Amino acid sequence: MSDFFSTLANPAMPFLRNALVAALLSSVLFGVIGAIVTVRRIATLAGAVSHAVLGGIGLVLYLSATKAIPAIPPIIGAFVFALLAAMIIGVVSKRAKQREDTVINAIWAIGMSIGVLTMAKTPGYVDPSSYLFGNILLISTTDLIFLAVLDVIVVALAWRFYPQIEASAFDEEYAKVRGVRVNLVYFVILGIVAIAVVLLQTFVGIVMVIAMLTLPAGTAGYTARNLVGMMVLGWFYASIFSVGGLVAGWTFDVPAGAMVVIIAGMVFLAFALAGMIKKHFKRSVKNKEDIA
Amino acid sequence: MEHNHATALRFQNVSFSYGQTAVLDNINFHIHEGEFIALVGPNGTGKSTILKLALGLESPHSGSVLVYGKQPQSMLHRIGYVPQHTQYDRSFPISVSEVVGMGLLHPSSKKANIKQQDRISDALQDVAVGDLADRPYTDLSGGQRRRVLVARALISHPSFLILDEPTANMDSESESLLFSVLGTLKGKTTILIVTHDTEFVSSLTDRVLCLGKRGSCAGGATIVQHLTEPVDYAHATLTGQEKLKVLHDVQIPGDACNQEGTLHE
Repeated sequence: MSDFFSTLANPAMPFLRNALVAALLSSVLFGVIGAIVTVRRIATLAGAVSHAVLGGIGLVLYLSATKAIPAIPPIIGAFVFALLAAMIIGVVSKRAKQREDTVINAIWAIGMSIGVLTMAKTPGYVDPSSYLFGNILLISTTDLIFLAVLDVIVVALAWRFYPQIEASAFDEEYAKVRGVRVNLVYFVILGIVAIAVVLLQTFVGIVMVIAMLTLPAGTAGYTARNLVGMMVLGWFYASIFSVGGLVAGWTFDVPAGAMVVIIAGMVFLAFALAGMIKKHFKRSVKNKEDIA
Repeated sequence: MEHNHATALRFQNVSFSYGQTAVLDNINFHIHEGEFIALVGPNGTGKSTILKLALGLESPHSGSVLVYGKQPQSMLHRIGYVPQHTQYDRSFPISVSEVVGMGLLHPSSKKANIKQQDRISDALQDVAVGDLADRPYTDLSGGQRRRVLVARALISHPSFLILDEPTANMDSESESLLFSVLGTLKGKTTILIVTHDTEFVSSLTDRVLCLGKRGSCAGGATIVQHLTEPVDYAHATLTGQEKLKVLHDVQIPGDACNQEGTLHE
């Protein structure tokens, strides 16, 4: 671990500092967006969007490499595919609820398949695993600026429209009766989830971004008394998991993204187990009182 | 009580269907300001659809729905609504106070009323659950949750209160308390209460609207009014409130207007 901190302080090795800043900036999104994704139960939807991103990345890499289009960064394709996937799922979810599952799974699979096929046909070597599992040590200063800007936007929107976000998640029909434009709230959330997924996949990768959008918020859900508490606690847990995963990944020379998710998963399961034991204990005390 | 007041709600030639399934067929009725109306009918006849139309959550396929003479969407600030809300996320972290505070929710503003906490406390006291303010909503019993939803509807002091099956799964104490609260509002607030109990209604009721499938050409439900009569066998201690028996053998057109306001035999 001392090696981690000495490398962090080394001016010649900025990549680890970038990784640490990325971990902390990502935690804000994992906490705030994760809480909304969790209470609105749209985690599967976010999973489909994150996997569709591979299609956008692969397509841009292929078209750029074959000179069909001018060379552009693959992240542009990721944004287009993520937003497109989110809006398609959103429209289907609102208009034909019974088809939602099918469409989510179709977009999930089709996005991945487009990515795999186009990467396979892209001239030169393209390694899909860095996109699938992330490579936090390749994070650039531009990525950090994007993450910081999105953090500010997300926190500002969550603070400004908190009552409307909370009401439409808890009781959408009632929020509508109170005049809240619930569909607008829903589509803005989907759009932000899509953009966030693209930026966050640089940290933990496409496959694991959904885990980090649900595990810190899910862990927070065991003790949070309200949605804002879930956001703040989720942010706190995500920071611990992210930094912990980064340190562990560096120390044991394993992928940091995977370590982050392993730590998050272990803590979540520990909370779930503690919750079950507590419930069981409470029930047996109550049964004893009833018998007495 | 005279009901020569303005009309709070008017359904005029309203038909509605979900896809190819006709739900409502040429519905006509109106409610005057200050009236206490029971809308009864068996499950699946379209009572909740009538409420959705009145709240502007759905639009009629033909005919018109007017609240205080205007489109429902522009009058929502005058309506208090108690939904069934039987399906909710049992792990949603939210306190009773926060649920009640939603009754003061503005469509886009964050600004909270400076007396919001006082109003929340008062609304909870009105339905006798003031001590539950800080409890998680999901920890409450079915009856307590119903009372909280009533408090949420009342906090904005609506002039028109719509309740969807408020007594479903409610214990008799909660039911009695609910109707005593509604009794204090009677005459001052227009009340439309929906229930699937087609035999008895609260003694507070001025008129009974009955929704049912009566063999209309389109296959949707139609609406008529029924007379009521007091009964002594549905005793208050058993049911939580005084009740009136609905006389189904007397059918009055849904839009018939009685200036006396009450339709008891």
